Amino acid sequence: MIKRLKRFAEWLVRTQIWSSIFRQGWPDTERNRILTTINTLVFHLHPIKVKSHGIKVKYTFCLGGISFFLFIVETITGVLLMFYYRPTVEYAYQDMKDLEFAVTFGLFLRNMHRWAAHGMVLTVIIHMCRVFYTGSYKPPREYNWCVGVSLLVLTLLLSFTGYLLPWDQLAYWAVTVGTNMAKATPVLGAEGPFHVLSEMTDICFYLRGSVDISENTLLRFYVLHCIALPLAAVGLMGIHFWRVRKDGGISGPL
Amino acid sequence: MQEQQPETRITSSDSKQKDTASETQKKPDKQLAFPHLVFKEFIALMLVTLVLIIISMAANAPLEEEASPTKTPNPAKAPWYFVGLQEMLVYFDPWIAGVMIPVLIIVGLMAIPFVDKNPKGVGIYCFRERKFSFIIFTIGIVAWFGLIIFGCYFRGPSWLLYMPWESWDIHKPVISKGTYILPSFIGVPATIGYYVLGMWLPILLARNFYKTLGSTSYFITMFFVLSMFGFIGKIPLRFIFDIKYIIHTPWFSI
Amino acid sequence: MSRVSRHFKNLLKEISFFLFITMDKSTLGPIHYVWFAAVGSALAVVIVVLCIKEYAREWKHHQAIARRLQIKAVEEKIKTLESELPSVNEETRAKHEDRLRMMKMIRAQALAMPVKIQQIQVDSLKRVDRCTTCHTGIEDVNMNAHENPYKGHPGKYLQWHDIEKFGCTICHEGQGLSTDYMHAAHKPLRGLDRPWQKAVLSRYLIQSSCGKCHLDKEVPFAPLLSKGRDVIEKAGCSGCHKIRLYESQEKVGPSLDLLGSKVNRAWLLRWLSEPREYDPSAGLIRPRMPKFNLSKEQILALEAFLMASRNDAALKEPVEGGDPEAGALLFRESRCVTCHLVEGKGGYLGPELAGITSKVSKKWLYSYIKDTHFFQPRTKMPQFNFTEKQMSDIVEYLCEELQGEELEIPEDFENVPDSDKNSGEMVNNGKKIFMDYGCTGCHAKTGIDQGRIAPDIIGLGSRDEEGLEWGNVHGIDKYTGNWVFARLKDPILLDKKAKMPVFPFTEDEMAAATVALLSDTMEDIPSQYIVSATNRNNYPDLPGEFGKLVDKYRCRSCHVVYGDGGWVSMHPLDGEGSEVRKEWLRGYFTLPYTLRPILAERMVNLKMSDSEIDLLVNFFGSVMVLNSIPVEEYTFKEEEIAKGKSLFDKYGCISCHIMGKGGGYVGPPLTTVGDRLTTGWIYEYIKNPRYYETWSLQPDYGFSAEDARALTAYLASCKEVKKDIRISQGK
Repeated sequence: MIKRLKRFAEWLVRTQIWSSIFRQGWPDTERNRILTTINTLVFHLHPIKVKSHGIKVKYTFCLGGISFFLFIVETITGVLLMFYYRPTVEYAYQDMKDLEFAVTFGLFLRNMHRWAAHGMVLTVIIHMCRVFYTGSYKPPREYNWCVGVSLLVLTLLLSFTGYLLPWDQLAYWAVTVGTNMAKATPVLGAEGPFHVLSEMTDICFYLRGSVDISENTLLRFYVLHCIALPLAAVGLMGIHFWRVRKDGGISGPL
Repeated sequence: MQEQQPETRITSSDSKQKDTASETQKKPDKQLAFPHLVFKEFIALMLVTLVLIIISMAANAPLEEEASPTKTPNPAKAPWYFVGLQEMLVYFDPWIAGVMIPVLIIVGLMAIPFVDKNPKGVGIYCFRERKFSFIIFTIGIVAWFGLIIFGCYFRGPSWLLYMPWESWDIHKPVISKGTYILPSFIGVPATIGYYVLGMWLPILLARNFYKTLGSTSYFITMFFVLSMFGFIGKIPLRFIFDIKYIIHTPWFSI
Repeated sequence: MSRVSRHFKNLLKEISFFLFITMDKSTLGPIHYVWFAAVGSALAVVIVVLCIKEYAREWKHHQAIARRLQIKAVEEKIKTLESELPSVNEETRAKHEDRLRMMKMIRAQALAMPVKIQQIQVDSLKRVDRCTTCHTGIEDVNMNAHENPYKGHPGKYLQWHDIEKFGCTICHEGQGLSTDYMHAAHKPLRGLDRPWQKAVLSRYLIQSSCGKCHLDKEVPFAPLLSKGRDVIEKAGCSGCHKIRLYESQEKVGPSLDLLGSKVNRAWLLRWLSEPREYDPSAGLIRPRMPKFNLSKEQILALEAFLMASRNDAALKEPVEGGDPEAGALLFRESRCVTCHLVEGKGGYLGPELAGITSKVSKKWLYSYIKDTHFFQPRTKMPQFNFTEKQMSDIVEYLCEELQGEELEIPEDFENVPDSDKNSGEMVNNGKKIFMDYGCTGCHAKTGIDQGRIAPDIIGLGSRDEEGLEWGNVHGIDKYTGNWVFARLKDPILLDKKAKMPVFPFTEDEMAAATVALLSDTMEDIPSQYIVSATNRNNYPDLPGEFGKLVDKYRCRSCHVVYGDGGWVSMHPLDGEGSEVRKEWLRGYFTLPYTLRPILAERMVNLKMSDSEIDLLVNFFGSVMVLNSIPVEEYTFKEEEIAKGKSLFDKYGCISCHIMGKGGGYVGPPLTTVGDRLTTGWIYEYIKNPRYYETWSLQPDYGFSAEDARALTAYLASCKEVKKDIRISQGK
């Protein structure tokens, strides 16, 4: 039985279709495995060989990978949710209810998006702790640490902008509390120390697009949440992964 | 939650790994990323997906009533990751709690690799060789999460202190937002003294520490460390001595 | 054993080929394959469970059951129709077959009905309701016997309110967009993950929704709401609070000017400290005075302030020789009990008269009847046209028959030193208390006008529970309704500093008032939904001689005249000229009698002068008419009268109306209706009973013009020819 399957696999890798997609043969030899890593887009993020201690789950707990994976989950569920959501005061809340009660898998999608978002904030913070406790920020990786901190900030902002979109009481008041803090910015905020700007021109106004949270805020947060911040995050992630490899792979004693 | 299971997997299964861990420190042997790393990544990915689906089925994302600017919920809490900052609002004016503290945290985090001159402890969980940075960072993280937990579970209506098991229906007297304002001839010297002494004493007592860092790094490090302890330190000052401001000026108060 | 494990390892090695992993010199042990298999299969199981859960929605279950029930009911009907078919005679056969075909069509429809989410979108009310997704049979009267959610809507509410035009949540509240039981907020879930304020209203509060659109005092089929509005009006809540629909209500209490001349000190002290002692009967019948939370010192100060206002010179001595028996006759003839209570029986407009002498003096009684509107400019009591002798008689009767014991100053207040009694300081204190506690809300007092002292309660139904003052009370669910009820029951319970007094409501009245207060939700209801009779022209002050008469006789205490007035009589007088004949009206003003024998309230005999009667009758006949009713009387043929009589018998009118010797007491007697009503009115009223009076109990039989004319002919012929109606010679 198994032998027959093996023969089938050997035949499979020789077919034109297989060889047109995967340039290498069945990955059971070292050569083919190396080729797999090099030739495949997703896998080639990895170096061909990694240090043994870096593979151990106990060392990394897969935290960076999980953060990245959760970001992908967020992207996929988020795009699907965008099909059903209109960022206007009139429809936003109604669309939430539609998602929950009328769209197939709508509630599930929303739950997944929500919990994955909380999970991502958590894993990113823990990932930062892991990197700190293993001393992986030390030269030559200082720059990548800074990119990582920026990614942490972006993650928080992504989650925070998404918080407003359901347009329910929880969203509205949590974001009110959050953006109110901007009012207290020194110099630039209307209520901060040394304030020079009025309520109509201060930093909080530009954050919200109006004095109170309104449809402008909703649209602003929607665009930030769906376009601006994810693009920035993708860019920084690219740098982050690139630098992991360029700075000598996963950290270890040099 | 997602990370715990891989951890138990290792500890329970491979006793061999302990020897290899100590071996790898001496001479890092390498392994092919495909399949060894990729396989583990794939299991982790499946596990995260599994956990996410189960959570999404078990718990619905919160959706309250439609947003209404006229109905203010009491309390209005920020998203959990900002609750720590909201909790700091009790002890500080908004411009510190909402603007200064987050900015200092971000800048401080980014500064870590540039001021940490200790080359040891890269790639391993190691406390003995980098006690100072280890302790300071841990205190910061614990304080951050401590404030979040306190704000989420111990704060009720009007941001008053409620135990998690207490009903929010119980009326509580309004807690004092601090009554004493230290006169500036005490407050200003005390604050300056705190920073000067905090920077000067280690130079005297732990000369070695100062020498290894160099003066620039030392002062930057000490500024952030002292600021962190200062922010945390005001909490007991409020609770025990009911102090509202340490420095009070017409423009800003600390 | 070892052989088995070796075999197992070999097998794993072979399989590992397909997982691209070789076992040798790898950090991956067999345990990783176990993990892979376990997590992978768990994932597969969970995904299957997820799909099943997504497919098996609660509403699908309900729709399936509802469809089964519906089909079953239809099939039973088809069966009975089919079994009856052979026995049906030729005449009705076609009709019968039609019904059978219709039933089969309904069955086919039910069978073909797709399983899907139903929703009603009402743009003008900004509501989308999916309730009918589970409540599929809500419009189906045949489903009434079933349980929820398959049940049909009870009552005729959906016939009056087209479900496509109104939706569900405008009345029932709850979360209309949801499609499962829990999230539709059938029960208010407090303290759980979704603290909905807008849960489905319980049957105790559902009538408050009627009040969103129905702005009349009397709302048909909403007894609780109607009662609540009545309570609010009678208790005079709007004196202190701004309440929707009651913004322009007048003060309900008497003016307190000249109180010092009216009552004695002992009575006033007792009255202020315990109004209930005067008449312990609960409810709003009498007295309406609530009990204030006042200390003894405060009561004394208030008493000093109130007694300081007097004018003894205005009181006149009654003429000598009053005859109590003549007074008793006059008392009955004038129907004083229509408004006044005597030993707990009678109307609610005026105060209790039994024991009147313990409160006021004979001299004051006489002066008051003589010059009513001098002492109480805004009273509801008319100025009777009694002669001085008659007044004396009636006062004598009151003092003799309805005498009360002489009251003593309560013990607590006896020892007050005289020097304190009328000192200026005390009077000033009293004035302050008078204003602080909002006495001005109900009682007028010259020189004191401070508007409403209590908070607005506009939009109480939409208030946020969290924003209300709940005090330190346990065991109350925090709903606005409970809050209102608790405030009415004991205002101090929730707020120690509350100045609101305790009103003598029964619990039923409190519940009804709560419903009425919650009906104001500040919702933006489009005007086409609003039902209100008060959109006619309002004339708060009627001009000219007619206006003077209406004011003198206080017609508006009982009747609605041009959109303003009381509802003791349920019949607004705006179209009276078109309804009743002049001759009858003239006789009625001279000697009123009761139109409906079962009512306690009757038209009072005002002893009007002939010239006044002339003026009123002419005004009624020429001004207070309805354009839709012709002025000319119809003439009828004999056969129409005969046909009308047969119709009258056929429809069993006699079960509600008296005709001749027998009949029911629901409607007015019709024995002499031809003398009373104009033919035009009778015809219009029979044709469309609820056009002029929406609350009328008269059934709408849908008469054809011919039948209605016949009935009119018969009723117009019902006259009492022999009766000699006194027709005065005006002018």
